[in-house]
Amino acid sequence: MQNPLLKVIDVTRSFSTDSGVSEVLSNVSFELEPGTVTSLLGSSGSGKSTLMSLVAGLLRPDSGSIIFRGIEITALDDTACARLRSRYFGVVPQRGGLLPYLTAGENVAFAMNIAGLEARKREITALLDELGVAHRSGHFPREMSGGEAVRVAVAMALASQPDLILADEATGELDPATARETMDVIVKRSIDHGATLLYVTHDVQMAGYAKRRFTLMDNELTAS
Amino acid sequence: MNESSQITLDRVVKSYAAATGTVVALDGVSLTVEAGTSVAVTGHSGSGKSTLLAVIGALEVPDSGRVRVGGHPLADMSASARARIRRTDFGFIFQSDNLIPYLTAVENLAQQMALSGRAGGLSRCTEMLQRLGLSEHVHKLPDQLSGGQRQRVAIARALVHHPRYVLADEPTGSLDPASSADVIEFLLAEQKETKATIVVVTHDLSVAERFARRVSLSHGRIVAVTAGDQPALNR
Repeated sequence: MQNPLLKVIDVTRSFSTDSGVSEVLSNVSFELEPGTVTSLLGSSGSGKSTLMSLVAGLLRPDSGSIIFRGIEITALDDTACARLRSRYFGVVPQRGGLLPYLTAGENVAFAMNIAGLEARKREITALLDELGVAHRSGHFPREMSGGEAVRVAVAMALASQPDLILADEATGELDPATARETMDVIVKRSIDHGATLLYVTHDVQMAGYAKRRFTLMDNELTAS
Repeated sequence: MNESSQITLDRVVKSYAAATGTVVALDGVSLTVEAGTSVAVTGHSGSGKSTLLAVIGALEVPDSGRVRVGGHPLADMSASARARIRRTDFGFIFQSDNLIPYLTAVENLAQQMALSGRAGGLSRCTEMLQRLGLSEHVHKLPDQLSGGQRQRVAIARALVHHPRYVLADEPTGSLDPASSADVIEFLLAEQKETKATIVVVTHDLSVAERFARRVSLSHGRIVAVTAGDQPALNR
């Protein structure tokens, strides 16, 4: 048994709302083994995006701890957290995350620069090719379909050679057939790159792409 | 006045293939925006105003006609030269803030500085955010900011690398009227300071009225040009 890449231990998180304090996650615990694919299923407002933000170090839990590669993320300051994120995490945000004034190739180069890596044309082309969008390298996001834009966003996430890829409803705005095709590519390429993939979805069918599946309901996480 | 930052369009035509046939987005548009001035382009949805911005910003190539920025025809530049001026000479603002969600406000600006290759680093980024009234939000993530604050960060990002041209496509489209007025006044105040050449596309006449020069587009043609004194800023 390998050491877990990520350990989430008894994490609780609340938010202040107009009607008082609302607890969105209650004593959530799970582990991710290296090289695995895990889905996190939940309805809108179930706290799955909050959990992703906590794992990425974008939010702090009220209590509990999150340990990545033996480093307690929850004990790091913002700068150290950002450094860890840019070095080890690839993030596929809900709405693509592509800059509209850069071409697909330039967006991937931009992601490499954020990770502190040198952007080499050959590597950019290879990544876009793996995702089936090499022919879009010189095109702007406005010229691409939704599925193509998500594939470029995945290329950007892989560009930093991450240990952990976090995808937050990456295929949520695509039609069902394109979403299935795109999810298939995300899972395959994450495995090819030896990365661990954690993705959130509200769609039961999309959740089925992962061997390991979690469901968030009533603030609590259950394995299925 | 920096005459090398003039924008000129000469009989520009751009059409698209659509399900219903060919749509002519720009139908022989000629326009000059003098260096260091600002212009608002208005028109209904489908009037061609976003396409106008896209051809100026080298995001689209016209079917015919010439676009010159700083006296240089974009069509005569290589793809890499166009990419370079897009990164260094232009600042883009869109309706959606397009901030990188996992980077803080200052990190978002720092990445733009790196992209443009300009020196100045974090101190320039922090100063820019302070000028836009975001001193308390420098290290916040986009999700921790209001819509108006996020759009101000997007404006700061568009201006941080001292662009010669700022192109804004419906920059206030997702904001309430008060935030919208704030954002435009910030943009105009910065323009006075930096003397960048600014083109703002908007369907909102109250936004357009803040600009001394207004161009109205309809069915891909310029149908009216209004010039007057720029209204005094409210701050």
